[in-house]
Amino acid sequence: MSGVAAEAVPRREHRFACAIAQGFHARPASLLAEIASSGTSACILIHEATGRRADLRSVLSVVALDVASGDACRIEVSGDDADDVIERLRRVLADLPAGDEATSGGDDGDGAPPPTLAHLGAAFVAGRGVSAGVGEGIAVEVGGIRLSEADTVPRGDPVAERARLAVALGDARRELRSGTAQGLAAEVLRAHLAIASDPAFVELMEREIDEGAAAPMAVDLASARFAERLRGAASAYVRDRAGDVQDVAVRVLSRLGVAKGAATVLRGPSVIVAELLTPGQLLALDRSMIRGLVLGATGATSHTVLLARSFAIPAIVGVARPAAAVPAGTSVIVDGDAGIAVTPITPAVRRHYERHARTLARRAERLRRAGAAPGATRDGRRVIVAANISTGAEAGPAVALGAEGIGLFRTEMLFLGRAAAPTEDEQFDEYLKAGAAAGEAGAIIRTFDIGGDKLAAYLGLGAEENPFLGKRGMRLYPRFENLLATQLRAVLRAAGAGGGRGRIGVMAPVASTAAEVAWFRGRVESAAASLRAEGASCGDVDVGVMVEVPSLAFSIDEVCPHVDFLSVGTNDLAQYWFAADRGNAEVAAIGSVREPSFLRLLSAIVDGARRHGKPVHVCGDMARDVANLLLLVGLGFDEVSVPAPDVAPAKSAVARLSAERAGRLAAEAMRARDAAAVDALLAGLAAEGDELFDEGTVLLDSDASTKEEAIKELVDLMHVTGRTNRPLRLERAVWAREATYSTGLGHGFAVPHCKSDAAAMPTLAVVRMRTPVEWGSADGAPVCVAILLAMRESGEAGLHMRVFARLARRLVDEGFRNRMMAATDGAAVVAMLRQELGTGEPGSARAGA
Amino acid sequence: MKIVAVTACPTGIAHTYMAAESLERAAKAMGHEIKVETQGAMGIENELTASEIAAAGAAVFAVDIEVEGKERFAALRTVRVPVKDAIKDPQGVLRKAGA
Repeated sequence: MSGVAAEAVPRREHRFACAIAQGFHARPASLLAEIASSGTSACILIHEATGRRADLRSVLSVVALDVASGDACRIEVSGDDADDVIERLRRVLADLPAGDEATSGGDDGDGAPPPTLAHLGAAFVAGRGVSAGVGEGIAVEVGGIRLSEADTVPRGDPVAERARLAVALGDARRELRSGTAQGLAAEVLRAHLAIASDPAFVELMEREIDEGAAAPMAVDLASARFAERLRGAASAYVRDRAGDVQDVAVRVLSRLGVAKGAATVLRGPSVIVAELLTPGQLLALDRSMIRGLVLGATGATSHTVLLARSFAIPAIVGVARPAAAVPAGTSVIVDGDAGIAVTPITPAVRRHYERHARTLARRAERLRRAGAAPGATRDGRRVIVAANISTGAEAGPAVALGAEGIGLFRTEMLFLGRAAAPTEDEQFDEYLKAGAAAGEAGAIIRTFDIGGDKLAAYLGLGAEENPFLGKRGMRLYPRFENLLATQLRAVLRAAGAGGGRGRIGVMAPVASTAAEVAWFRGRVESAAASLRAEGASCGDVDVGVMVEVPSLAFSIDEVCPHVDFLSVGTNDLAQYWFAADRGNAEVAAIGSVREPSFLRLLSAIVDGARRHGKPVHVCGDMARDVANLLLLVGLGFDEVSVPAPDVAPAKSAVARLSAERAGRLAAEAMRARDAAAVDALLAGLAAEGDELFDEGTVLLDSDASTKEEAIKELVDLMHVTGRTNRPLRLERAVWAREATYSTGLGHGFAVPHCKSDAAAMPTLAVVRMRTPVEWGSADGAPVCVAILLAMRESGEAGLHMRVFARLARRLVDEGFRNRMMAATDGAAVVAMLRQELGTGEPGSARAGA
Repeated sequence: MKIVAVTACPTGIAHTYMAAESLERAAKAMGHEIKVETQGAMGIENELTASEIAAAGAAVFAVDIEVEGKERFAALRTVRVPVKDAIKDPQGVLRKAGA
């Protein structure tokens, strides 16, 4: 045994449950492949349920394992750098996002036309809505590529063909690497690079050559075989990667001189019609001309669809024989919300979509306004809503979405995945970009948070037994003082270039003691002194610290003299408070941020900051949950910082809160028995403050000309005001009720109603038509005033139901009806309803109960 | 005359209450005494007691669904109509019940 031990290479393993909603698809697999390929150790991924194994360097092999969300997996690493590699893999696995953005348009876009169109008998093509919105254009067909006969004949022997292939692959990889795309498009290229570098893929191509194929033929055959293997997978997400393989094949083929045919030129607003549209084909088209996609076998979770969504191009998939259903040259409307394509476009169809477009524009405007307003509760307490970013370029778009500055700039992205640390000038540019975009609202830059694992080979850090309790955050700084000094100089220069104090802040991650915080402040001051000594421009910065370690939460009195602000990182703080690794599925359930003990901890931090007059922020995931905002505002936080897309929703949520009531609730939550009791508290109170109606749900001069349009108008009022995010489903629920018998009451009134969770909150909406519309009422008279009562299926119904019941009873009264008919504006209707229904002012709906 | 009534519609959101209100107003206009039990989304409200039922001369069911606790009215003469009839012509419905 001792002889074996002497020669044995280090072996390490890591067991985990796949935490990605769609299983291991190309993008996470390519992240793992990158790490596996960077070291010398062999890395094998084992799917415990099937016992199947895959080389972690091969994205396709990993993807083809068909690992589903929650499946137990094991990674075995053997080799000299096994310690290092396993730790980096472990960290990447823990940091993987749980899934791509939720599908939009998908769940109601089942290919049935909106009721208005259905009742018109409009012709349509059914699909499935996968990217929301409506667009109109001329159908343009995009086909696949075909090899010519010449491409199937080898030019030389297998050795020569292999060499040709190797050159083409190398060129293709270089192209992919040098892409200047950003965001999702860049990620797609990265996944394609991983496929082009995949050892299993290359091996398949080489095998085809050895069996006599020419290089182009080998690429074609091998990619088809791979795509076939993916299509056989159980997970739709894995099946949808087939388009990526085809894209890579097309790219390699073009390097082999096989033209993919002239690129399609779009001469005007176009709707792209294709069976399989690959992400590469989509990216090659003139995006400004694309109004919609009508696709056949292109998957709902394919990169093509993800890209369409990120470009806001309406799309439907699953259309049978799309090219025949929507012939090239015809005018077509793609309705990504309903999941249909409508052609021909009759005047009635056009009227429907014009009205629909008006609704969407109103909704967009309302969201924009919600983003533009400063964050504040409805009783006037200011709560700043800022954004988290990882690169300077993200700051501008975040501010455009309503962010009041940058609450957290995670700078480690600038340090990772490169051969050397970024220079002072490079960093200066990034911080200046963020500061300029944030303007007066300011940007807070967190100095690099690199652990012994997520790294940056150039620092030469070894693996640790327990990295979460090891060299994390600012604990590394004494050892890398120069790196810190460079970063601080870049921050101070950016502050100097931009102007006034407070515009740029800097804070340190993972501090445990006041002494560390004092040391950090000293480093900032010393960097400033060195800049001034050089005569360089140097601005004032606010210095802060992240509160992520419980010990710091109980050192606030000692910490505050050294800082200008505190920022609570709830993810790490909760992880250390409960001693439970959030990346470990076995223990992740321990310690909700709603545990009263955690709320008391947060309260201690806020109280400490208050005593010293220092502002205190939250920049962890806790602030992303709209229900938690109530607790955070109640606890007294001055600022929350969330990912950019969450900014406007967070602002709206804050605006609906009363700071006074939130304070009482937070105090009650801190006294609660456990997290479940806090959940119950939040659920019970959430319903109370909602208003059933307001001026936004009353429209007195509707041009609706049919019952269908009137019902859509009512639902649209809810859609525009954010009272439903699933208008089609809600509309269908109203029609389902209408089918039992007409809700026309006679005397020109109707009360369409439904019970559906498509309503985000119980709502009463009123539409008065300029011209009465036929409703099938008992007395045969057309309807002037339609009142929608939308209930939710779940939740506490009693309170709102009582109001609805009272309204129903009031409608029997002729005087009430006459007043509704005579009202001159929405405000008058709202005031009258409040009085008659006893709902009083918002938040006091209980009054009449 | 004393009348007891039950109103109930499929969703229990609107018509149940409109019918109840209509019957109450019609009865008042006709000089009768009425108590209407609603079986709606909030469950049973204004529930009829055994003594109220015993004292009544007739029962009106303005319902589109089954009446809960129907056996309570076994000894009474009952008239059953669709909910919307009670909204459209409540006096007619009450006359049908002998009022």
